[in-house]
Amino acid sequence: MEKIELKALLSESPVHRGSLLPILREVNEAFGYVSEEAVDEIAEYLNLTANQVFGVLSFYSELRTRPPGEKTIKFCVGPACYLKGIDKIERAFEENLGTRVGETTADGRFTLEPTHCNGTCAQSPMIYVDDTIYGQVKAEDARKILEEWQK
Amino acid sequence: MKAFEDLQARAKVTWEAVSKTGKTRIIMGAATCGRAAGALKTLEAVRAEVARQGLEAQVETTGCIGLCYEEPLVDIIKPGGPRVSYGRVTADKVPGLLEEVLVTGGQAQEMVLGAHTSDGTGLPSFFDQPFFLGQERRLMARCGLIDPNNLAHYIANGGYATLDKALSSMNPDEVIAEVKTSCIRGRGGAAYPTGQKWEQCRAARGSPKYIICNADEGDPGVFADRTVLEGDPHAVIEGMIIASYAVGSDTGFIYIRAEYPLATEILLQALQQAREQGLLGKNILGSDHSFDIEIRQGAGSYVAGESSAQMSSIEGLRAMPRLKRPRSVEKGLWGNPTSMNNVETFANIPHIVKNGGAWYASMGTERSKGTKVFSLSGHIVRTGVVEVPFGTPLGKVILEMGGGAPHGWVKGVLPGGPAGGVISAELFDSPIDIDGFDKLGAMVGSGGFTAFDDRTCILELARYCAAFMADESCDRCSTCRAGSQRLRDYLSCLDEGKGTLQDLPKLKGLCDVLKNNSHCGLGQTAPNAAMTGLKFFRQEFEDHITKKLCPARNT
Repeated sequence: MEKIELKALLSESPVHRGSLLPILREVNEAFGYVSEEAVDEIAEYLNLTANQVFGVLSFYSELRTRPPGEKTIKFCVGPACYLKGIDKIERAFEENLGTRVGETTADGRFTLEPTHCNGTCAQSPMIYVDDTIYGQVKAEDARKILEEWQK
Repeated sequence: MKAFEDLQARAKVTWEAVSKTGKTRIIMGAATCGRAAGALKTLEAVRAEVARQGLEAQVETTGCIGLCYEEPLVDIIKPGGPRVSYGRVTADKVPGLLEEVLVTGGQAQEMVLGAHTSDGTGLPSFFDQPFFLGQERRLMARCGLIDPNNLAHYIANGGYATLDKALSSMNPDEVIAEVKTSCIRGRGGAAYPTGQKWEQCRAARGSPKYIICNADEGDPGVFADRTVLEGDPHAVIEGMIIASYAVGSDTGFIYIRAEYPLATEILLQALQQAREQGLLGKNILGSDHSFDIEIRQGAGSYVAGESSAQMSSIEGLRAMPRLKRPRSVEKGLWGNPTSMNNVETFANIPHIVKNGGAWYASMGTERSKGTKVFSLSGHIVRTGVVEVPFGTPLGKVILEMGGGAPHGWVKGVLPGGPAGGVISAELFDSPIDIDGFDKLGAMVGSGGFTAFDDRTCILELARYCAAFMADESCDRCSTCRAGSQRLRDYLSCLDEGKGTLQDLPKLKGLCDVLKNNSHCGLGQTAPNAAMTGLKFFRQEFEDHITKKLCPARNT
């Protein structure tokens, strides 16, 4: 199934090295990550080596090489969020979930990730759960936010 | 040209149908900053309430006018009345607001921010708030007032007339001459004179030539470009088309960061509308000039904001910077002459070509001309976006427009994210000036000030900046890869009170190595926060060492 979807997705892109990053973004979005099989498939399609594809894949922080959890919680690394104590919020989520930023919970429910600034600093400190933005978060909100998504 | 006159006439009809509707207009700020504060829920509530109360009202959306701290922001224009803005209108407040303003005729005192034009109703003037006093709004003039998703709004408010003027009555050399006379310097951080860049690219041999709009806005805490892209996207596109005509390019790219999905969506739509109306594509507005623009999205990389790294990224390579010989204007994207400019630079171009370079150069300081858009964030009361002339004192922006710190006092600012160094509040009299900030060891950079208050430890802040740069190093050169990590760890040790006074010259030495020997701007600017921190707050460094305490944290 995944292979058929991937082939369909690839067939829409021009065979040109410049298509590599757009393809990796699309695959990452469609499947949550870029698997080793997908790397081989993309390499073959663009007449590149798997190494060349993996070199680009591993460079960008939004592209994943491992499947994420069901929900991804992202913490902004920008200075406004830093000044307003994002580290305490990260720790609260880490303690609640028994995992660390950069990892996925053992039950596969949540992945914690750092993310770059999206420029909504008026709402700092901010986190995302998938595409939902939570602004002006406090450490004690962690449990409540997690409960919302554990339902 | 005839093609443009027709387009303008049609746009005016569309605009008047919206602006002179005879119904009440309710306009919602729906940029990313508004959405983060719940603007979409407010919008939903407005629509539901209009239907429930059976109000004769037209509900519209717009970009951000700059008052991010007052989001969600709602404007109401009653027939024949002024535009009145209301702040912090969360969804639960919508029924009360609409009831009071539209039914009982009250002013909604607890939410009203002011009327955009005076009408004798005794409402405060919106633009007389401290946030706006001293601003010179050119790039921000339409932001928050027009619908960014509607090309007709842009055209009816003066848009694309300058492109028409350039294509119909100026040759490319004349366009470049005006841009050179304006003395505008690139707004992305490097501050290279735009006119010279275009001239060199035009003169360079090679075809095709490329125009790239750098919309990566990688410096965290900076959101000036996002505000312009989400509020007035066609201004940037118009600037790019004029650039393509001046340089002789038929292909352009906008490289936008992965973290800006809404700006990307708005741009894609704007490009499509421009294509449909003959503003992009073959024979633009019936002229001989052809040009089109593609969007390329980043995927989470700070260094991809560096010009050569960005070109590598578009080519499908790792976003690693290269040495600048040859320069991109000679051999850039795919080895062809390429002119890359920042979002804000492009948005300035229609103003320059319309009013002339001399007009533009009449505002600003000796070597920094025009206005600059700055985002305000961090420990500041009024987080948002302001546009001020160069030469405005830094303190005026931070303390008067920004309102200072919510608790305690502002100790300093990070200009341009973790790469820009720190500027102490003692230097708030300094005019905002590219070369003046350079002399302080900081930089105007891409246009953001992140304020920090008196409880912020300068060593910890410098460590944060070094850690950010270490994480984002592309790791090509060992100076930056190892140097930025060493700097981070060094600052950690000093913060923990483990240093001696002999460490301070050593720290300075490490900073010098990074600054002088790194391959690209990332490594060269990585020590800025540590160096300026040491320069402006030396006593705080010494207290950590000799007294084993942090004066900011009192521990």
